[in-house]
Amino acid sequence: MSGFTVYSATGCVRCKIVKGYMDAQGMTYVEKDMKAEGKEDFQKFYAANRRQIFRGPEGVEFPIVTDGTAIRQGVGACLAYLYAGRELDGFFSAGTLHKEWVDGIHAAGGNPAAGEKFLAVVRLLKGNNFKLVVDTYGRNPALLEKLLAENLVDVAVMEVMASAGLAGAIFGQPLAQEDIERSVALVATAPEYRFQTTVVPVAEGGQARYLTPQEVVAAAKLLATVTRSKKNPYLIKLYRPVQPKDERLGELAPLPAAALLAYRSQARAYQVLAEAEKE
Amino acid sequence: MGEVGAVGKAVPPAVKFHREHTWARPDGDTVLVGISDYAQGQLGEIIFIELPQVGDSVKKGQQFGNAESVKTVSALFAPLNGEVVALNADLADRPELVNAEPYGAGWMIRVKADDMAELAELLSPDAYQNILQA
Amino acid sequence: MAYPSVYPTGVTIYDPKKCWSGYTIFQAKEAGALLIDMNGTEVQLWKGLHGFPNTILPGGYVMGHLGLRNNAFGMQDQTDLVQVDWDGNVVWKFNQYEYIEDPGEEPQWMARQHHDFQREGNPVGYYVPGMDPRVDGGNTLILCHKNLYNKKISDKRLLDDTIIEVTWGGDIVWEWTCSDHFDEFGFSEAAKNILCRDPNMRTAGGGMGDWMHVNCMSVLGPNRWYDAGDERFHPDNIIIDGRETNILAIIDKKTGKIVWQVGPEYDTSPALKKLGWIIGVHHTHMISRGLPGEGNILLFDNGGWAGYGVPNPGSPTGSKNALRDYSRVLEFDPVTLQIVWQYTPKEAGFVHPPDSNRFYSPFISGAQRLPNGNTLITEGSGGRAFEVTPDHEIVWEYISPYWGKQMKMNMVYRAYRVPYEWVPQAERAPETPIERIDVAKFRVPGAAPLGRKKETAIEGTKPYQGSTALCIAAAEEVDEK
Repeated sequence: MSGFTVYSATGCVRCKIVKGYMDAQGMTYVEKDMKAEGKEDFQKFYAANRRQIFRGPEGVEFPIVTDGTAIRQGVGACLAYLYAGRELDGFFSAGTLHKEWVDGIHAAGGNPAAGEKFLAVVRLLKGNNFKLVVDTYGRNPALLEKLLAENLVDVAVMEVMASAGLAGAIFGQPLAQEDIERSVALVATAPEYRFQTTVVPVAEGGQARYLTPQEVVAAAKLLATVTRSKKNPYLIKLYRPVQPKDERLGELAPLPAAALLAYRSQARAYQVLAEAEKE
Repeated sequence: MGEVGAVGKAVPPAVKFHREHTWARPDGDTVLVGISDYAQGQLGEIIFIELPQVGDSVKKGQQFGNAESVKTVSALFAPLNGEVVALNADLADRPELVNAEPYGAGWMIRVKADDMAELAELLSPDAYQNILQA
Repeated sequence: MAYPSVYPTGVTIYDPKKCWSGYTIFQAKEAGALLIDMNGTEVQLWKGLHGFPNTILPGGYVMGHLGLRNNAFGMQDQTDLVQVDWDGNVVWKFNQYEYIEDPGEEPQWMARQHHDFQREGNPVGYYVPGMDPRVDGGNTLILCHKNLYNKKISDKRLLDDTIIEVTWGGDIVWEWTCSDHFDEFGFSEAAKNILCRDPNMRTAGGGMGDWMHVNCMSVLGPNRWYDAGDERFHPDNIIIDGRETNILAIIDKKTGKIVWQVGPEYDTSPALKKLGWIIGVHHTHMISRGLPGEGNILLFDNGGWAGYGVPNPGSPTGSKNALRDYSRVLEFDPVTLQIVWQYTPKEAGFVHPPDSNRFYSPFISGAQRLPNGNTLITEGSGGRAFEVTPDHEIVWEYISPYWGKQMKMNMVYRAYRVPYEWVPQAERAPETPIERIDVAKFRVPGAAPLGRKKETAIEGTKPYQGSTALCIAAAEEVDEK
């Protein structure tokens, strides 16, 4: 394969890891350092593709790899694309964590048929001494189990919906109730873990509504039943609309952070450590 | 880049400021609009400027576009009411002009003001400087 | 100062004509919530009911707490907030703020309440004409604790103050966390330095920094400032103070931001200098509409030791760097900061400063404005509650006879006067005046009466003079400086 461009930043360790991988595989590429000689080219690339470029809390995430047809951003997503092309789509995205931490690894996100390749990329990341945050919403529990068995997970995060029907509608992929419950049990065995439920808008009968306190309570109850513990770390998260417009939101007004307090009060009947995210 | 907290680069005569870090300057019977030296300094190297289209109307204090750098995206707020009659076409290829000459070649939109008297309501360079220092 | 070892307790002064008479509720040390009448008759003790503070609601309800978290693990955390009826039945209870598992203790939900709470309908926790607190519904604002870390303040574990609003059904619908607003308080570099090194570390629970120590929380209620367009004084806004920081602050209920503040420094403007350095303050609140002085801020400026800042000989590290050995009750205009009324050692009639610590409580205490313009002051550390007229005459005084066994003080956290009508169950007793005893003539059995067996005049002696030639400057000499 040829024709790759790597947009990097001077001093970016993750860029070096991606370049190192390409060098080792004998892949040819052009590097554009956006802080040095590649400044103008990056600006042009950015202007043409800005809708597809992810910004974390500290700005545009590097490295960015493109072959003219696809753009991949962040160390995990770049390595996955270089390793297996589009086969691993959904498993990785540009994360928001830095230094030794890598997130944006989605056990539930991709095609389980590509599971072995997914594991190979996670091993590659772990081999670079990163600490890994792996998230799931319940699909592909078998992959999660393998990750945990190989000690590839430092922190596991699960977005919990109590019913497979609701989860399927929210995440856009059908999934089995049994898989949700198995995932909950697995997540609770990670060295560090957290459950969360984001109070997202749900389309129902042509109308949008937010997840109800009862639905969050049901999720908290499911956690209690499966883990046999009322003391799991559980965060009720505020939904942040995707810019420019999240179609799911419809005419719904943004939910104020204070509204989550009522969800928290009720969820605490089953998960006493439940917390509500702040603004 | 000017000192943080200062208006910075020499401000041409007749430039008036909006507290959200944009400026307006009469040019013939229209008004040029851009961002302050302080704002460009806060953004860092600008890599893209998203502007409205010619014919769009802008409302005082409301967003008319975005200035984007690697580290941040900053909303641009209109200093007065009016209609966009021209865009600075140079910025598409050279957004860094805003960093280099925020009050000159880095202007962003040309506006036909609903009421030129609105300019008088904007902040003088000194008053804007006071806001920055507060 | 020389505290006598023998002195009377109970009511010592009572002038029914000048008093705003009613019942007084307070937490009798290690006994319970005690309701007394003007002559000190103990009308009812809700035995063992903690009170931080106790308040009375119309209908003879008392508010308090069933217990206190083990001191080894918590700092002043009340397990709950309860409303108890005249017969001792708990009719409302809130405790679901944090699930606590302390070693060797039964795991349980706790409110972690401390220092204050306000029931909807009444802004300040005491009697205001036409603003009765609700007794069978409504929300309750509760001042609580939470442990957290905030690197902006210190790397040490903090004991933070939070305010929650709880519905009658027990749902938390609003929450405010003090440390979130650290940047808004405007601490000096010197203050930040010592705060970082020692955020008032206490030993409970393996150590926690009680950095702000909010000790009161009330609602502004309707007021003339807001009516005139000053949004800072929105009736829903909440006023607090921080004992450790010497800060008085108003919180915007909508945004949570600090919109009005006095302190932590008191030398940065002529108005603040005139107000004087407020230290270790308690019970800062706005006098509610319908009471004399409405719209002014009333507080008990303890003195003692508090604040973070530049080290000085009394504070080698800069921790608790403001010191004063007497107290002041201040009523001031929140806009001009001008003092409208005060009760300090001077108004108490003590020679200042050598005798000023006769009015001094370095901790707890409070002040309640009464409908006739009098002020009920709790000088807490000595267990004294007294009512003074606007011209500073003491018309009622009570010394608590309740010394604790665990803590050998007769301290009173905060006393509240309520109208007789709020306690319909009690039979109203006659109001018997108690004349102020002439202490010079007052003797205990066995002590000799006042008077000399022999008096001899010496020729050539000169008359005695005033206080200007004491070892220390005093009275007028101090005032003139």
